Amino acid sequence: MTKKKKSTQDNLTTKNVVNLNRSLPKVLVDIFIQGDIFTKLSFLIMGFSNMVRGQIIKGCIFLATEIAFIYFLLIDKGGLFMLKGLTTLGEIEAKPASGFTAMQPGDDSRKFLLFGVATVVLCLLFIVIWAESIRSGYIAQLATDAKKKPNSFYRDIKEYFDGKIHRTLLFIPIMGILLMTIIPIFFMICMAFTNFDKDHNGEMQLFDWRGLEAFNKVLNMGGGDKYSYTFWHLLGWTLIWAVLATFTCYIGGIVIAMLINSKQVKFKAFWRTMFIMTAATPQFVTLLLMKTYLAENGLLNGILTSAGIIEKNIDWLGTPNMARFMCILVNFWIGVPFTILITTGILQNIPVDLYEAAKVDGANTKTIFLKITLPYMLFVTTPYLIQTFVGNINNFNVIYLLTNGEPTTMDYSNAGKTDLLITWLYKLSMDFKEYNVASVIGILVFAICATLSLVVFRNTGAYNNEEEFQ
Amino acid sequence: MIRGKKVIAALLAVAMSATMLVGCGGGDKKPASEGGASSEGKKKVSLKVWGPAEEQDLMKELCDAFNKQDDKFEVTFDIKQVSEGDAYTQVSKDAGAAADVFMFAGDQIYALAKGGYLFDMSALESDLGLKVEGVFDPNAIAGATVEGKLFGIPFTPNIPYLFYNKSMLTEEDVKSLDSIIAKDLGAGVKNFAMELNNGFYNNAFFNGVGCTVFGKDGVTPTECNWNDDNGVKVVKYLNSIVATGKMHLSANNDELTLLKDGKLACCITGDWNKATIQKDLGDNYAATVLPSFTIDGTSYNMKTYGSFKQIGVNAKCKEPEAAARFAYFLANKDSQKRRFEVRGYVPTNVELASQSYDDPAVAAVIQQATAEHSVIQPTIDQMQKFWDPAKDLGNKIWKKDKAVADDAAIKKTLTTLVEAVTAQ
Repeated sequence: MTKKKKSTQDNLTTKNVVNLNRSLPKVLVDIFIQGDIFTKLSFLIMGFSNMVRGQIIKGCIFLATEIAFIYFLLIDKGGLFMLKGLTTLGEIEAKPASGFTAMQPGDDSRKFLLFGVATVVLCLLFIVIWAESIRSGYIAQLATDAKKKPNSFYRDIKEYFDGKIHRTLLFIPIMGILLMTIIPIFFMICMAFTNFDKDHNGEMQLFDWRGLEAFNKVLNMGGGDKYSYTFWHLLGWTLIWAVLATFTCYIGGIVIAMLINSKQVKFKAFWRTMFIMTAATPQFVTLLLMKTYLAENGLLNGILTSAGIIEKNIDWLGTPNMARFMCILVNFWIGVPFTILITTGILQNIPVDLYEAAKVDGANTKTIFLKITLPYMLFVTTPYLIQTFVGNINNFNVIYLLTNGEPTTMDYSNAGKTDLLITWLYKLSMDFKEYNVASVIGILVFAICATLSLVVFRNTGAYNNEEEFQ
Repeated sequence: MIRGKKVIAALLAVAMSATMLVGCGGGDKKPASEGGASSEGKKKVSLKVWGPAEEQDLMKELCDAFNKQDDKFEVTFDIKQVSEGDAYTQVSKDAGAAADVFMFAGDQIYALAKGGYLFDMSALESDLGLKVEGVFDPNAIAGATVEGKLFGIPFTPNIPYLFYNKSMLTEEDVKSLDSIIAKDLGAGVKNFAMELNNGFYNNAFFNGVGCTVFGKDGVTPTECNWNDDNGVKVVKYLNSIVATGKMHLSANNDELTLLKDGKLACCITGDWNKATIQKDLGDNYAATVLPSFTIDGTSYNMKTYGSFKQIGVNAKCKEPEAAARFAYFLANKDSQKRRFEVRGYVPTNVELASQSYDDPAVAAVIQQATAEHSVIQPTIDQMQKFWDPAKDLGNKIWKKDKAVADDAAIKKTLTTLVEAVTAQ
């Protein structure tokens, strides 16, 4: 019977031990108070406590990390320079050259902002490693106090492939997320607080911190620019669109699924295939085709005039309300197959005896639908509904490809009557290069979506009573 | 704690060696040797060049010719394909990595110049002895100048003019829009087509009567007088044209199909459609300047926005002299002549423009670019705010919207347009 050598890091139950499971700042403070002199010193010299207790390699790695970080901060154009650059966003202006000699380039504000943000993230990473070094130094101290030998380096590595393998596997994804998602998002958010736009393009002209100036421009009614007028009106249309688009697809999907499901309908497979076929074409292609189809000289008008139904061509996408109606209709055409698929599955899951009991009680079809089918459906698909709603707030494809936000209007600033906030954001950044205003809109859209998702989800039955239904 | 002392001693040793390494590291920098030291011959430089897809072959030819002809520089060229319309987007992404010499559409010049992306070439004549005044068309030079400084070298006009079917309209007919509309061409045939709902075209009427956007020079962002009496008259005139039912609203180049099928007599478009129209109309192909129009007995010329395609030098270029010489070379008399032979691009060189050409379109363009038939397109930033309101106005006129039904409504609509266009 071989006993596996237990790691000394388990089962430390001596008294006066710091509870390492509490929040990080509290843990660090407690370790400082209760640790011995070597542990206290390792707050300043990383890895000191480890080295004293015999974990030489681990201690050296921590110390090397500290030296590397301090070196990074202090070298010319290193960490401290970048942090200062984050506050100034470049100081040297580009001067045009005289005659035909090459120019002296000025500071690139975009680079200053980017490297500043990256340095801040690097500092936060270092703090995490620093805290971890203190924690491991304290654990080593506890081990020596209990007269046991702290883990050797070899044991530590083995643990990272055994008990702590979750850390090892998550390391690369987390680094990837930090680099590809977190740093760019912080960079974009910072843009909202600067005056980075066409006149201050960063590379040839400096831009600077401007606080909430861009936010004021977008949110403040009665400002000279039409930005705030455009914003609030587009917000209204975006929300109306999201509600209508989501619910038409949803109810439409349920109704069609129920019709197909009902006993009187024959050739069920045929009907199902027909309705789901529209999902086979890529959304992109459908929308572009619909755009030409619905044009004033397009196919739909051609068909209707030759059939004699209308005399003059109707401009389906020309007037604001008509265009908005067509957007919702085309979105229904594209979105309904997916809801049919989902609801068919759920419909077949509703217990049949509920229906039979209702029939016995004398309920007609409408009451059955409202009191049994719909509540059950809602209960199961609430997360899906929230997801679709939030997705429709940002439904770029349908609006941009079908109408490009048109019909244009003089009342809005650079936006049309069917524009959503997200398509307006795209136009502002791509066509007009007003990056700071676009960033503000992005932040506001995120705030709206996040709030809505959380509020609705918390208040629905799905969250509150997970197991029960009714 | 003997253990502790050992560790402290080891740490101190490490610290000392670290400081020694850092201290030694800083002194060894030698300046990098200068690239391309000029020998007794030409200086070797390398230039990145951008041009549209259709220009690539001609560009290679001209690059070789430049190396032979220039006595100061031996250039290694790196030619890439970037269309003139995309130039601003590409350059503004990263000017340091963008081309040293690139071709761009004239309406981008203000954005590029104000953004600091273009090299100031005002000293071409004084420093490099390359003449601009008197060699290029004066309108072209004006289109390449921003706030008194020359930022581009214009090499071809980019303006719309009138194409017409010779068998349906005579040379006399096309002189005036009224006579074009008045001609009876039978049922099912439209006399005239233009993109009325595009500010690029419908401004020709307003410019003709003297209404301006952003002042006479197009640089005052708060000035726009489209809502004065002349502007109201123009809208009423356009209403009357639309009411005849003989006009077609061009959309997505559908007027080309109508022209081909004989269902349309003339249309307003530009060089970009010339080849198609030439092929479709065959012997009936003809082109001329935009017609005049008559309001209340006075005849006005339709004056379009004249813009010119330009060649610019990147402000961050490391060898601006070589780049400027090359840019000028691409637009000198021989190159423009060659470009006309190969691509049909109308020259801006004064000598070449005064010659006569077989293609009526060339004469049309040259005449259209003069001051009687065109105004310089405003290129200030505020121009971005012009397009949508102008489009909206065109749409309203075409749809006979009640917003342009009577004088009072027209005035109100035009005032809203002016407010939208000059909004700060």
